[in-house]
Amino acid sequence: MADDVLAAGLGRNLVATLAPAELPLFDQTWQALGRNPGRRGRRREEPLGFGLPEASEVLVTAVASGVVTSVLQDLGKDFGSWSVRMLARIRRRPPAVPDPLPPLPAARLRQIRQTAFRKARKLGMPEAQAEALADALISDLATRGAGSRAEAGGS
Amino acid sequence: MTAGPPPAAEVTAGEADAPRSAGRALPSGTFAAFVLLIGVALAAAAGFHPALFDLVSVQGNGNSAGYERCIQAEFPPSGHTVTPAQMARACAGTQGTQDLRAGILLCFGTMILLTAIQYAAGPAWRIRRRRLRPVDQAMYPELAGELERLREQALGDGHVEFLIDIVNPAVDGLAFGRRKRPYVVLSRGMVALFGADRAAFRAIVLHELAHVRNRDLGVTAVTLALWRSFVIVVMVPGSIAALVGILVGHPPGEFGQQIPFVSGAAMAWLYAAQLAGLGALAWLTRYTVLRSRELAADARALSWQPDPGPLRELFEVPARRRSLIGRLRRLRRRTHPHLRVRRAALTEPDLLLRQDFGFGLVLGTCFSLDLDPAVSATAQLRTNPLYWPVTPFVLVLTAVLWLAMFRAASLPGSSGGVRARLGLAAGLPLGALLAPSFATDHALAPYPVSVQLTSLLLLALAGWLLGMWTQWVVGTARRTPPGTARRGWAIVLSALLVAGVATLLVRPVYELRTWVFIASLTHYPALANPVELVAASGQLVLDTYPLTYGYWLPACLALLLAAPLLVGLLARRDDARPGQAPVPRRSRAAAFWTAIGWAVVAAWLAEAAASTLNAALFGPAGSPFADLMNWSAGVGAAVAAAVAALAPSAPVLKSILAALACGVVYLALARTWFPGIVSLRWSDWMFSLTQVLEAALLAALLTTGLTTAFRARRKPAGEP
Repeated sequence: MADDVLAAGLGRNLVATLAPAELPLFDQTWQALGRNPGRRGRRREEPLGFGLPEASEVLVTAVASGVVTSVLQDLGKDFGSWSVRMLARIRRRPPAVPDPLPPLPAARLRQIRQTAFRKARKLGMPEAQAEALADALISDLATRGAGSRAEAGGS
Repeated sequence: MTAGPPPAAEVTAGEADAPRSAGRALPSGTFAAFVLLIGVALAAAAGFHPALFDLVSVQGNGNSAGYERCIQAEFPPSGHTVTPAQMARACAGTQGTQDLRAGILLCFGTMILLTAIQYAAGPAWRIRRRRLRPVDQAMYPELAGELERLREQALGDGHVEFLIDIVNPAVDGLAFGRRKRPYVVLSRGMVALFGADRAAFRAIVLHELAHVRNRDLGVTAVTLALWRSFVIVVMVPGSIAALVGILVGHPPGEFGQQIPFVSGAAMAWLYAAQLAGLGALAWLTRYTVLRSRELAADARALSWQPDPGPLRELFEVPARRRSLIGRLRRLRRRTHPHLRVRRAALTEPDLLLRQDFGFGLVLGTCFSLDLDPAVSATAQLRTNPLYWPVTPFVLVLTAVLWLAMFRAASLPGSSGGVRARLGLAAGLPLGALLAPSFATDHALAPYPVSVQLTSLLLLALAGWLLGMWTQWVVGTARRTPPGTARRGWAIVLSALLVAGVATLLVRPVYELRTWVFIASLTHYPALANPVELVAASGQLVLDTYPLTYGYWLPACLALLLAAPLLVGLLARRDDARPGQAPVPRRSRAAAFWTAIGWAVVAAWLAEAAASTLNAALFGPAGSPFADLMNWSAGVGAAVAAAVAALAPSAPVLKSILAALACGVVYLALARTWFPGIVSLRWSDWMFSLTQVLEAALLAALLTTGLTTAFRARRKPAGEP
């Protein structure tokens, strides 16, 4: 549950940065994406549909959902035992990630940025927008890490 | 100013709404294509069902060697007439005791069950998978109000539930569900479009409501479910078996035991090619169903919102550039006509009503595939054949053909007729090539490629003639004054006529291939030329059918000659024809001598062809019977050609009637004056009369075709 909250928080911040127009329907959209994040950013021709050619527009919320899930899966490797990770893989859910996140080293953040960028491109996002999304995500993760460090220092 | 074609909306209103309001709704063209798809799936499953299903069948013994010995012992290459029934009787049991009927029925059952499950569970599964939710009236009050207005406009009291697909950013709509529980899905992009362009929004929603109104949901759901079932049950196992067959150099399934004459990698490749062709055919049929649904929905939407502007604007979206693989992938999933076609269909009703080459091709292929389990050589020689309802299949297919031609006949001119005929002409041989028995027939008796090609060309000719005949009958019926009882009678009569002719002639036409197969297998008759071999086999069929079915020849004559006359009489307009100008004496003399010329040429050609064929079938010239047959052909052809050249109207009909009369007189005189042939049996005299009619029909058709072509060429430009 904590992961869901973390993922939704990260996703909301991304959408607020990149496509604020999608924010009013963010909760409904995030919920509708469910366990298949990212796959629904584009559509395909269906029988008895209207049949316009596949449009190039991409739903940023769907891409953000896919990217956040990938990144959390990637981050999950750093936390928990191998059995927990295996169970998460079987359940097709990202493994548990502590919230708030511990501070991440710069090299790891760069890796995560790469993962986010690749996933965003794979989901059909234009290159410039994918760069912006990856930057925004890293910035968010770094801020959260710094916040948790400050919290730890304060306590 | 010339009047252009009526917009598609008017045609839809005229073609669909008027009959519906009268309570006599004709099934749509899509429904026809849907029937074809079911036919393709069943016929293909009968032949290509996976061997797994045959585990429940009686396996018995293939015993191909026994069959081979029987063929060689019973039918030595000395040459005598052998019918399929004789061959089946003689070699029954030598093929073993295999009984695959249970396996075929199990395959059908599996396909039907899978289709039913998908149909029943499909809507709920789609709603769950795509997380669709009803349009929230509290969240979108204005949108919900507009949707309610559109529903009332399109469906009246009809119910439909609007759902929203919140994760689809594109402008899109979708209709799905069942007849009692229809749904229309609006994408997230549609919600944005509602605020930005209300007319475009309405056009899209009305298009989806048109699908509901046109009762597309059930047909489409079953089409797609059947397609998936066909792929799962037949195509996937078949493809794996074909691949394995190619790798090991042996055809899959039981073929190895059933092939006495040939085997090997070539058969495996043939099996794979047939399977690929069947897949392409099933895809084309599915696409035909979906394509016509979309065009009909656009036309229906236009009848509610007559301005085509918003739809046209939507269809002018530039297509994305794709790689070759992307284009192929899109082609595989394609469900809608090209936007260019949809744009054109907004103003050209031809595109909506015309049955094009693809439809004719699918229909023709279905004819051959659907009849294959009953009329092929393999089917006729099988010891435990599955009962295959040929007549119902033929009736359904001819109803589809008649319906397509009837709709196309409402268009000015003969738009699409030639294309549909070409499609039929290509479809019949294609279906014969794709039919499972093509491989097994070839395996039972590998007859030469030239003979196969000739028999396939014969099928193509039959397809062309069937299309032409149907078009003519329907066109004649359609000329009756609309809204009168005569029109109703003419329409009913034309439908019965097409069905009757097809029922009588389809079986002999297809069985001809079996006769060719037997003639080649038994080296009889000893004709090297494939055209002569096929013609001799055709002659045998024509001679045998009236003997087996006494009503066959009179029924064919009545349907081909008398019934069209009746339809023509019903279609005759009340206003009298303008009187023809008197023909000058010099022209009459020229026409007379031209007719004599036609008669001489026709008599010579018919006599030459008949003597070649009859020499092979009944012995060399000189015997009384062979001479009588040859002269009969000459007399029939001469009279028919002369009459066809002189007749100002209905030349074929008049030629046949004149040849029939002259033939009867000729045979009566021959029986009286030539004592050498009096000893012939009555059946021989009937054979001769058949020969008169055959030669007359061919000569009349040729003469009419050639004289029409000459007249058209000589006619000055601008003359109607």
